[in-house]
Amino acid sequence: MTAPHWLRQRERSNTFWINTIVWIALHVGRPVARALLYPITAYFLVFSGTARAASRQYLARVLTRPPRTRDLFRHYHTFAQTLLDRLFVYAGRASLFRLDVRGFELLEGFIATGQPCLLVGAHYGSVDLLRTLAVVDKGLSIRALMYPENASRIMSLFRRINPSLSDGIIALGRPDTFIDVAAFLEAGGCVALLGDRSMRDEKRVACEFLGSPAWFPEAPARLARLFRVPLLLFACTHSGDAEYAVHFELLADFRAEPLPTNAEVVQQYARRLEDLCRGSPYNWFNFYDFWDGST
Amino acid sequence: MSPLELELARLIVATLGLEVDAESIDPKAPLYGEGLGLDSIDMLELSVAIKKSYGFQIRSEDPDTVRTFASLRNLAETVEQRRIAA
Repeated sequence: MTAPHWLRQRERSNTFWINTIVWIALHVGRPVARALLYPITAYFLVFSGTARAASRQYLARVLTRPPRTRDLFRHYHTFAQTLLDRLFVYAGRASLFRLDVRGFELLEGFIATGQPCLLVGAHYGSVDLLRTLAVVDKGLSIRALMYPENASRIMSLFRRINPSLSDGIIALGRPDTFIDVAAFLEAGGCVALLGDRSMRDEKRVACEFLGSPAWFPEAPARLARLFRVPLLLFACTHSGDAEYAVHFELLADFRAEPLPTNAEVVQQYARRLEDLCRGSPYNWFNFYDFWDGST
Repeated sequence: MSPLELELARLIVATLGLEVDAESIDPKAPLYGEGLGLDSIDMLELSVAIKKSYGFQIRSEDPDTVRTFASLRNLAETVEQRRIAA
């Protein structure tokens, strides 16, 4: 099995500089660290050819005009800001952030009644802030399905800051990955996964997304169908300095007939993701050829 | 193929709606990835079906889960052991 490009693509992370900015962020202060994001963003913009091409391709689609350098800069800079914010969240300083939360009562309602559900997000905005809101602040029991090997250098750094990060994570990509998911859901728990990156060896659906077809994994729909649970979309959009807009909505409900087809559900996910991207174009963090049609 | 292997092969084909004959599955070929081409959600569906049919739950903290799913033969061995133990 060959790993897809987004898994192979090494995170462009110069360990020395990352350690430096982490130290500055945690010991000197957030404003100084934020100021440093400008030269850092410029550096990555200049030296990351593949990611820049992907950013340009995405922005051209979402902005429906040729992107200018400042658009690319803003895209990179938004990503850098969410990474820095992640650091503060992991360091236990989530109170720095203002969250405008919509639709959370949907999830709370399911959890209160012991109704298992599946949450599907994307590489969009900040998933981590949401995890903190749900898991730490509200004490909700949610497991996250993730590829552990991706972004390992930056993750090992984050783990140094907060060793409890690996708690509640179920590693994807093993034959027995989903067995624990079954036990957890059957006990009334919620499981979150990201639905925008697909592996070549998993079942996928070609969905219309920002103008042409792209592959999306069928996994969220298959899992929700198998356990007959509601499928919720979640997103946490970076909307300004230390500001995030959190959003939950019901994507599909597999508890009652007539059940939608998997293709319909995945296409609906892609459609809503497209709406989110059009509303906040710089929050999309898939820096690889997303519309690679190869099979 | 032993009777239990055939029984499991039929369970796999029926559960996952595969377009192959249960009789034609090589008991030594990998179930996951190459071979039968099952992915991890297929494995999950299969474990749910095995729980229903044989009354035991395969969990990932079991040390031999990966081995269990390595082939139809291994799966049959596990079912044989666990079903007796249960």
